[in-house]
Amino acid sequence: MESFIFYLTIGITVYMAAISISYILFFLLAAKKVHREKDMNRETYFDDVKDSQRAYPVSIIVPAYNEETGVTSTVRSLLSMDYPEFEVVVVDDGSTDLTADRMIQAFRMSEIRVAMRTFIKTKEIVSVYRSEVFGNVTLVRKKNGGKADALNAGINASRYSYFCAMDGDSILESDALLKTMKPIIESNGNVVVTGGSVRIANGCKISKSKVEEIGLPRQPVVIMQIIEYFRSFLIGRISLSHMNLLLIISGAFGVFNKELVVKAGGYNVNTMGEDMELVVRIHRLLKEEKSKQRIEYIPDPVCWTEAPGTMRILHRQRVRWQRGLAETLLIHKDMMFNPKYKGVGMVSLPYYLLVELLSGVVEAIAYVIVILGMLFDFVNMDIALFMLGVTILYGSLISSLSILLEEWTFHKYPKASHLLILYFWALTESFWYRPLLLAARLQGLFTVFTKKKSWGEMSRKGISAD
Amino acid sequence: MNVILWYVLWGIASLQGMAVVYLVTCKILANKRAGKGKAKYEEALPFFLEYFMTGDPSARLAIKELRLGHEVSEKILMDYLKNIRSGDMERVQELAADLLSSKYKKELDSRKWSGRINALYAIEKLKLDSCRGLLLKKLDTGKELLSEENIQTMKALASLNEQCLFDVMLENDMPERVLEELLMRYDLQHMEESIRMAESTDNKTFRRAVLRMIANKGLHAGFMFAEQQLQSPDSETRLRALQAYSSMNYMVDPDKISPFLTSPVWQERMYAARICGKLKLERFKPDLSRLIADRVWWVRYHAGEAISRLKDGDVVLRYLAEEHEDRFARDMARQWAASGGGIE
Repeated sequence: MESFIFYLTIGITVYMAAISISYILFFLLAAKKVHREKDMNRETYFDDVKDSQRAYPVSIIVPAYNEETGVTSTVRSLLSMDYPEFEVVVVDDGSTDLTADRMIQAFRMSEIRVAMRTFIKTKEIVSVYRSEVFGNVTLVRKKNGGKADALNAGINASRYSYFCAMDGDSILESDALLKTMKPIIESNGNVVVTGGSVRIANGCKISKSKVEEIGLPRQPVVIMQIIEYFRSFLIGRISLSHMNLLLIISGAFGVFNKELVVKAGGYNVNTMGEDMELVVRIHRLLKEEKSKQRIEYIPDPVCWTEAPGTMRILHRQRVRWQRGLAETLLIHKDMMFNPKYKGVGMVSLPYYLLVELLSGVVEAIAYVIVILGMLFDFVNMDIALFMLGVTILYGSLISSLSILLEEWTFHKYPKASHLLILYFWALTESFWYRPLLLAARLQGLFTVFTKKKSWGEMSRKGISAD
Repeated sequence: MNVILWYVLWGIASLQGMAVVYLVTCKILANKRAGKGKAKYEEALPFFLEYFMTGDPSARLAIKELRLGHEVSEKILMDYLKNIRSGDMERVQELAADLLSSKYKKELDSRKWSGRINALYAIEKLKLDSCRGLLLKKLDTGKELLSEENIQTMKALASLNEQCLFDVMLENDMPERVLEELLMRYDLQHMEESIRMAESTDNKTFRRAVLRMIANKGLHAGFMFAEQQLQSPDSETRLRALQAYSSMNYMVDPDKISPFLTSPVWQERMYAARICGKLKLERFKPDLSRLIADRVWWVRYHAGEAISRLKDGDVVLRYLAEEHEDRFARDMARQWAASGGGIE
């Protein structure tokens, strides 16, 4: 028994060390890119795309289910976007609240008859409305089929060759499309999907659907999510995108080549992680066709979203995310460690399996060993304390390095005190935030085989003040 | 062993400490710098505006005496450029050359990629002719031809109407989109010259890019060239010619369009339908009524749109909505009859 625990402990230590090294490698890769672009005049850089004749038009698809609080402010923020040509397609996925009514009222919409193409099969379309004031705002009402189904209906109803998928409760930066379309336009079609950074709007002053002043929220649980987003977007995604190994384009904001998505079969309605699953399927398609096309991520913050304000809602969200990740990996298990899929099969998918999905299990085992070891005296206290110290300091080091990357690039948080607060909470992560989320990560993993599925409703206050 | 472990811990903790001190110090300094910059911006802006409006040399002198940093001058000039009409460019360019060209010349040689890129974008925006020589020296026509930095160098040169860039475009295998981006930056006289070059070159990509430029600008001078290219054996070139045609408002010879209404290439049928609608070519009503039942949705859509633009188009659409034997044609006709526009 003792030797089993010894070997298990060694295994866990090696695993943790490997993860730590991978994080540092990712940071170094991301830092290289961020440092290169650190002093770039981003405004002038992206301004170039504005020329209406050369920018590809984009359809913005907003799937909405019971989003009566935020849907109109989202659409308003979209209408003030700085982009030459776009349309907004809101898809009401059989909401039981006043989502559609709010839209119809706010934008003076009337029903129209349309000859809609069916690229992807969806639940029945009930009616289509168009705004009398803004000719580029359309509302599609359909029977409930889930977010993926709503996005597919949006693809069918969209007019342009590129579409942007976003959440109904998000607010986009006015230059979000300029920034995300630039790689597509300039690559001459070589970049087929782009995503940008999503930021947390809680604590910010938002008025008329615009982020006026960036601030920090009071709830520690939200501050921790801000740090998590920095880490995930500024370290993880930059480095993976650099190697064309990015598997996630956030559901809150991403731009896609419609033809390619249709060819890939659209969003999968049978998974909770439809955003990740689609990106993996696109990778599969590109690799099978031996295409050199790329999926790219730009680190610029383009989208603001309301983060869960309580542990209970955060727990639910993370169960969903973890389940989505597990489902995607299960669907595409044949790509895993398959050299045919190059880096995606040999690096990213194994990384998501071993680090993102299974680290929760390993972490739980480690907690059990430490607790039992202390109780039954089979753990060397010095080593245990050392490991605890390393875990805390290393975890928060990575977090503070991500704060450093944010400060090098976008320095969105205006005060030095903001950085200190973020830094302070980053130090505490290992004591409360990680253990609390561990339950959600485990639960998400084990609920893969249950059939229950939902939109993952979240009680929202709405992020815009008016 | 224990001592080593604790050293490791202290090492990580010190790294943390250094990171936070660095972060906070940088933030405080950056905020101070931004505050000073803002104050200088506000102080200097009236002098800049006065100079731009009146050309008063005393305002220009006052600007120089303010000893603004490059950053502030650049911001004022760029902000101003966003709002001006093209005619007002001369004074901005003069002042920019005076205040900033030395900085950009230095930055073009900088070891920092971001510095070089910033300079290239600024030179393009401000059209700084004084940097032309350095840009030409920097231009790589070899393996780095299509690197981001080199493309931006070419864009800057094109914005300065650099003639010798045409040779680079004609002699190298460059993507159509890049060529179009470059061509669009030239002034009208040089665009017309590019059309003449396209007439005599074998470079198909260049020809297509010129057609795209004609389409984007709706260039009258390109009309004849576009018409010639309708006969091109290359289907991509024909498509660009149709695209150019459909974006111009000149009357075309209907006989030149009619073969495309029965083309096996759906994009050609689609553009031909669009041209019929745009130029109100009534004689093609029967062809459009046939195309509204085309197997490709886009062709049906543009045929419906074209009919809606013709004389009595609404009557034709209502008839088609009721009587056409094809269900998809009826749907499309109904959409255009009801709204005059719909979801594409």
